[in-house]
Amino acid sequence: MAIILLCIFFITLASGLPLFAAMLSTAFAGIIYIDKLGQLRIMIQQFYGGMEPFSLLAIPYFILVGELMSHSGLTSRLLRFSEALVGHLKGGLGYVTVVASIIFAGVNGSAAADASAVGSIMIPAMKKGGYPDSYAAGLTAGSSLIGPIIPPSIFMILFGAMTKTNVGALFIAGVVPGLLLGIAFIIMHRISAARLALPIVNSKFSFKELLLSTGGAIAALFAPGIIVGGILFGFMTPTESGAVACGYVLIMGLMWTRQLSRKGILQSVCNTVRLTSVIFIVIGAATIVGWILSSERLPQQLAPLVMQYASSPSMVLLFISCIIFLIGMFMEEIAALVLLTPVFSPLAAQAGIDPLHFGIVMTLNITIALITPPMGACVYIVSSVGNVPLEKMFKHIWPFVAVALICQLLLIFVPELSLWLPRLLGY
Amino acid sequence: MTSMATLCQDISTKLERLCLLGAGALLLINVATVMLGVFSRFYRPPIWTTDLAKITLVWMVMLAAAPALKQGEHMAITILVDRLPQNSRRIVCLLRKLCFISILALMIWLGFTYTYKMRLFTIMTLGIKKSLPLMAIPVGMTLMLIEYLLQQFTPTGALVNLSTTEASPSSDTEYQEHGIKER
Repeated sequence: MAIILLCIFFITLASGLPLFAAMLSTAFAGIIYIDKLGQLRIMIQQFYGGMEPFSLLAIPYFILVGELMSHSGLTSRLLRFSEALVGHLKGGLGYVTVVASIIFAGVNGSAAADASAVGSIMIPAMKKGGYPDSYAAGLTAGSSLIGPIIPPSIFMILFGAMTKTNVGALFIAGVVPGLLLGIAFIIMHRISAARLALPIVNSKFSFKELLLSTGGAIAALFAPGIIVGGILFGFMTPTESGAVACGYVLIMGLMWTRQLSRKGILQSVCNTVRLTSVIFIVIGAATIVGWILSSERLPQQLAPLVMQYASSPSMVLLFISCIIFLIGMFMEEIAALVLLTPVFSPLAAQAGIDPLHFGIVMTLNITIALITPPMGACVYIVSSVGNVPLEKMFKHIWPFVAVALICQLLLIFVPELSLWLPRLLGY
Repeated sequence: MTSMATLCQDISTKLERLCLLGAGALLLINVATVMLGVFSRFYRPPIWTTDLAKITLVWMVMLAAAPALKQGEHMAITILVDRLPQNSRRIVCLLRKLCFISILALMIWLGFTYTYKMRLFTIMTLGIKKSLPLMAIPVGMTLMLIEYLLQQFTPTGALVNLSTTEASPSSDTEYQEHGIKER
């Protein structure tokens, strides 16, 4: 039955129907197939139920934070700070890109926002600095993967809402893997900088410039503290911290940088509501399909098959990761997450995998799909903002995918990487 | 451009502005509601903030769906269809349009019937009928259908003919600020 639904989904999607409509068509076909036409109202129940969890409210907030930061000049201040910090190194602009992505990841929960905000400034700068355009774009796309791993994260919010896992704990669990990913890209860039003989931007380190840029970026650097600190000390839920971060960035844009105009606020709000709408309608539609798969006991049917070949929890995770990676290549990421989480989380629980560990592995897996051809959304964004041909990008993106996959394998086989910090903080 | 096309374009633009105005206002109400819940925590926190936030979110999402459709932001893959011979492509496009209209119509019908059934239930914290938040789904789908039909009569209708040429960036991905749309 799952295979039939998958075929219907891909046929409708290939015909050019929007993703949510393809999913609704699949859901309708599924309801007919399981002979529950009398229960068609379930489509509305599940559609509404999928959008309703309070924790999902954080998604528009973190999108709005990113939008307001771009319009209030805080993003460019973060980039200046990153340049002052690591711009003096050989191939400095590459380091600036990765460091900026790490910092930006602490404010915005989306890889796309990261790729767009950092890429629009850094790719032209790297090209100007003598970097091959495909490498500059690849590094930006690769670094954007840090966005959904370091808290806050839209993918983690979704995963938490669907599996009833503590979103705050997931956020904390993402810190070390996110930094690991950042370090991996820094190491990769260091090797590439030597191989490609990349230039140095600033000839020497300036402590004065670092102090000045820190002063300029202090407001932006404070935002992750509000988000993570509020959750950590129990003042706020992730959703509430998102709302407070919106208020904070709005005030900073109006009173600190004074670059946030009425037009900027209006544009930020309009972009946020449209993006949120697209995400949530996909979530609603995918929830219906997920319900059909669950009601047909797909996870229970899958469990013995997997356990037959995968003996240890790590092998189960590896098996799940391979499937998610393949599906993620050909399916939109949020849809993949909403569809696959209800299928694989019971399986992971049965294998004795910690929900936090599974959540981080799943999030990273779905995130890697953002840069894999043919559907990698971040590749399209970077290609567009950096004026790099898509074919060229798809050809040169694989080393960055490989680095992310190595981090993924490390996470699978060393669970402590994601579980150490939450345990230390009592989660 | 014919007068019919001009009229449709005008209605479409006004509808988009109206929807964005409503959705934007709801987003701001939503943020304010949640912040009120946070800051009033230490002094008589209101019990209705969570429910109001959920309702405004669903309405915001459904109101913004039509403008997102107009801007071509709902992810669609037409790279395969674009490679078909012209006659085959026409047939697929026609079937796609019919399928899209049918799905929206189905959701509108199901939405209104389910909303009507739920009119007897009340959300205790807000003292409103359960049908009010549920009404967002059929209303949003109706607005999307109107927008889609209007686009069929305008020259820019290509956007909503769902003919994005590549696998366009996904949902949380298209950053409008930089005008990214793979078409």
